[in-house]
Amino acid sequence: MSKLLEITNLSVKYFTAKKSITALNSVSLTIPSNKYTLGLVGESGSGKTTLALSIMNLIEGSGRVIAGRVEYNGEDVLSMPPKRLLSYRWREVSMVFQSAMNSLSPVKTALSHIEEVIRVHEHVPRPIARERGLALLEEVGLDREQTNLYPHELSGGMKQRVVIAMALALCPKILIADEPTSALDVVTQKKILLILKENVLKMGLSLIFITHEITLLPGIVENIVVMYSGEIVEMGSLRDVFSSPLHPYTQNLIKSALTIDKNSIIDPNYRNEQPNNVANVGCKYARFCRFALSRCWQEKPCLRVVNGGRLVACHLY
Amino acid sequence: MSLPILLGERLSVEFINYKGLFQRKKTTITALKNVSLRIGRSDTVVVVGESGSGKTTLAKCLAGLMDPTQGYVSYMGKDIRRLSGKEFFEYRAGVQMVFQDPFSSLNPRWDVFTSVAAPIKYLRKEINQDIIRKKVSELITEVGLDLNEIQGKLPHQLSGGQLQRISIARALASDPKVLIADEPVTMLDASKRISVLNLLLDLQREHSMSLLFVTHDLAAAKVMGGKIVVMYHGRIIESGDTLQIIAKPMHPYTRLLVDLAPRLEAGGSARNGHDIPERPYKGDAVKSGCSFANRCKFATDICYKIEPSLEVNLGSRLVACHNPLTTS
Repeated sequence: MSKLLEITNLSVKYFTAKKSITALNSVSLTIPSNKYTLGLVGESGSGKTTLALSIMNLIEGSGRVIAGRVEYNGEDVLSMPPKRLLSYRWREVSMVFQSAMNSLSPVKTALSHIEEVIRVHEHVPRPIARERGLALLEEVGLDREQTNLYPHELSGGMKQRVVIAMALALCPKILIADEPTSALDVVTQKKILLILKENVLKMGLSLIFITHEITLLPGIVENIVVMYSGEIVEMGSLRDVFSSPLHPYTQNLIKSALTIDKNSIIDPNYRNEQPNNVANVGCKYARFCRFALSRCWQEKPCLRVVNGGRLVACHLY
Repeated sequence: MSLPILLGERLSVEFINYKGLFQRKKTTITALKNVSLRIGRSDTVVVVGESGSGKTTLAKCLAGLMDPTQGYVSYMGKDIRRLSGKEFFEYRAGVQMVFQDPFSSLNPRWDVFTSVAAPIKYLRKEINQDIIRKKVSELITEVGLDLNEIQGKLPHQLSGGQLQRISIARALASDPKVLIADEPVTMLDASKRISVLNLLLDLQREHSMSLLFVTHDLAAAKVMGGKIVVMYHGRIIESGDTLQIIAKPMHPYTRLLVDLAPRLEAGGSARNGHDIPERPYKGDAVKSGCSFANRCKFATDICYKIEPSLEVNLGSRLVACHNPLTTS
């Protein structure tokens, strides 16, 4: 598998009038091409969405990329000229944004949304775009008569499908899905995720699936990256990470996940005795960590390979 | 059986929509149909169902925030519409609700202290400032928040988890006998959910309250335990002991929910997305008969003709299905 997207030491900060907040701190990640599925998990504020936005070169406003590179096929994404960027976004890497279903145009039908995407980017005649749009919508599970409905006539699940079809319309190489199902109920959620995965595999794309709900990942992705406070703390195959999480944060995340097959769900002891005003130059999780050593407060652990291909940023290993 | 604290008897709620020129077309949406629910002392009752199944409508009826079209709600054996002014205050104080979205359920212009103090002032008629202050401080500590950190803060300065704890403190402020929690953890970060659920269970034990917990997540229901009521399309389709039902669902819909509930097995389900029977577009395809029939793989002719009634099955279990799953 070849490297398709390579992120090296990416740091992003958001600036306000008084202070700056580090959203990403030296994150490195490689996405191979062709059917690579990655789940990106972490709690809110851990930098998942910022990472996705920087892959699309969409960091703007108060955000600034401080250091690092994002390379797509050897091409520097962060310094792409505007024209190239237009074709890069959506045709190479597309994204389903969080609550994207609320951003559908109220005066356009489901089909004309897809049609527009195809016509704007590929300059093909309308009938061809329409045909392709219809095929795509059918692929994601919309009936033919539903394709001419307006967003207010569609249910949440159907709107979400339209958005997914839009993201797939130009056969991108990478699809980023940022919490695509957080507003849907259990049954619809599972169904849409499985449809998303089927299409990703069929079209041979790579998928980056962002969520804070770790329980959504099994059956959808094969690899997992756990983020905490703007850093990657653990990375590996879903099977390995789920069966034997290494980083204490991942352990807590898995132990506290609400699932139906566990007999007891442990409340992670998030509040450790440690005061939160101690200058912390080491591990960001040290304050909450049960195993924290004195070294954890002084020295930052870096992402290292431990027992066979697993990557973890922790002094315990 | 002892007297239930809160009882909903054959509740039905219909919403009427007027459409067309001069609003002449009338469409009726049945949000709740013939639902009865009893909450005894110190009971935990979990209501589960997908969006649109009527679970919030049921909670609102029981909390007195919405009037049922048919049926009645009684508190301590008395119909809440026939309560005297004083008794009604007693009911308001005795049944409190925690809402789904903590960001919009607190007054944005009140500091959280004022929000928690309000029920003590207005429902418990306490006017001594010192007592109020002491009580609020106790409540805030009890829900696991740091008093000094919280003091004087407005809702927008706090996180979702903190706000939901404040909402719980506010609901507890009038010493309720029944706490109704409407999806209290869905808006929270996954890692914060379990601690709020445990908090609710602890508080229920300490205050010996009854708890009505509304959720769409069976995994959360399992943590709460107690009794479960599964709703579909405004009707109760299965009810009984929570753990038993999750272990052995008898209604095909409950089975579907159990199958799709979050799990952590690394392999994941080998299900195909297109096999999952989703709710059909514009719900009411089945005019008579069982409302789940058009999604049910066990549906037979009778399911499309006669609506199944809630019948006793396996001891204390109630199931509304013509073909309940007996062994699986």
